[in-house]
Amino acid sequence: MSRTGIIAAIGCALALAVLLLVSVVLPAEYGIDPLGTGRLLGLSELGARAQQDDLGRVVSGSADNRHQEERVRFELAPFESVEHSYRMMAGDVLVFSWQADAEVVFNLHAVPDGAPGDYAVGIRDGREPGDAGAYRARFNGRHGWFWENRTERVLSIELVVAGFVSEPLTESASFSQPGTLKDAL
Amino acid sequence: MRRPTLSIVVLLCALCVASDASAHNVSETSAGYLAGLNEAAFPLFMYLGAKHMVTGVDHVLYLFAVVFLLYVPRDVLRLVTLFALGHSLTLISGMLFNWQVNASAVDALIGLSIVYKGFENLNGWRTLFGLTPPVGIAVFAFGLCHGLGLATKLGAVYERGEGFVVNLIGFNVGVEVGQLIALMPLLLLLAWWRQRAGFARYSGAVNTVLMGAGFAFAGYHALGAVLGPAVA
Repeated sequence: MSRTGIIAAIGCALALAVLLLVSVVLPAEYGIDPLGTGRLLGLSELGARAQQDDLGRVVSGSADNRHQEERVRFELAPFESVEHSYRMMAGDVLVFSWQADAEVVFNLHAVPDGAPGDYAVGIRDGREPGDAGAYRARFNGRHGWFWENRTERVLSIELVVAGFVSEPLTESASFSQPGTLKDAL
Repeated sequence: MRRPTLSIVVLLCALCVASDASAHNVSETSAGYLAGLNEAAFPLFMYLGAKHMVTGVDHVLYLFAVVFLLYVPRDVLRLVTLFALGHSLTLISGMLFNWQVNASAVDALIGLSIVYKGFENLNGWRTLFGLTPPVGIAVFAFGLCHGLGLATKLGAVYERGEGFVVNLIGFNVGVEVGQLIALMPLLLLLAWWRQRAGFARYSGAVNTVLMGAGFAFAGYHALGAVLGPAVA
């Protein structure tokens, strides 16, 4: 390629890059729209909203559930399990933390309305002395925790929940031997 | 019992978000998992390394630019080895000694490596400046940059713990495997294209577009460094 050819190539390459950055990237990513192309292509909205989302986001609670706060305590005898769940609507959020006085087998799960038999969607499981976080329901149904005491002494668990929940329900059960329940919960 | 199932779930999740290459970081799902990982997981890290290379358009474009003019297998092997040596060196030492570098700056530099190679392919150094800088040394030096990029991406989500060195080597091996996976179709495509009359005619256009893409990458990441991370 000739001398002028190469200089032209570099010029074209630079122009191409600047055009892309100014017309598309700046409006879409940062809400900056010097050429008006972002508005034309409908990209600025995204950039402006994305900038806002970056500062924080509010998820409105559904009309069905009012904001509730609850602090519950469970005593688990050896080889006893407990299930504590709430009714939540799709999109509703709860903030939780629970603490046990020893490691406990747990899972956080959700059962969609009208689900057959013992169908449940596992959200999070493990063997920990506690857990905390924010949970957002993806469908209408019952959402809650299952804890299982596999030790030979009494365990206590304290759960704190705040969110758009209703109809708290606690069910406990006991199992005779630790081996009767599958290891992979 | 739980670990293998968990790994499979993570791999599936990682596959689902593999298309999210725009930000080109280790994906959020694997990030959350890696942060809590405190054991050797060679295959998982190898997979993540390979995925990072294959889904990383910047790495793939650079490789394309490197092999664009090469038709002797020995030359391909030589340059790809130099590139691999370069990025392995900075990937391993960056992670081992926990170098804190600006990720956006490194990514911008990776963009410029594509520009450099496109310029070199157009014989720009000779034509404009009467110079012939050694090709191998440039590929090795830009390999160092790419490795630094790999180290910042992995370092952002994975910290020293049990099995650190094993996982690091796994990631590095994965990067090489991913590089070969990306390279194979490129080499075949080029071999086929070189037989045709259009190759010489379009060579200038292809390298111009490569330079354009490199400038765009560099600009995108420079914006990220100045205006904060892209959010869309």
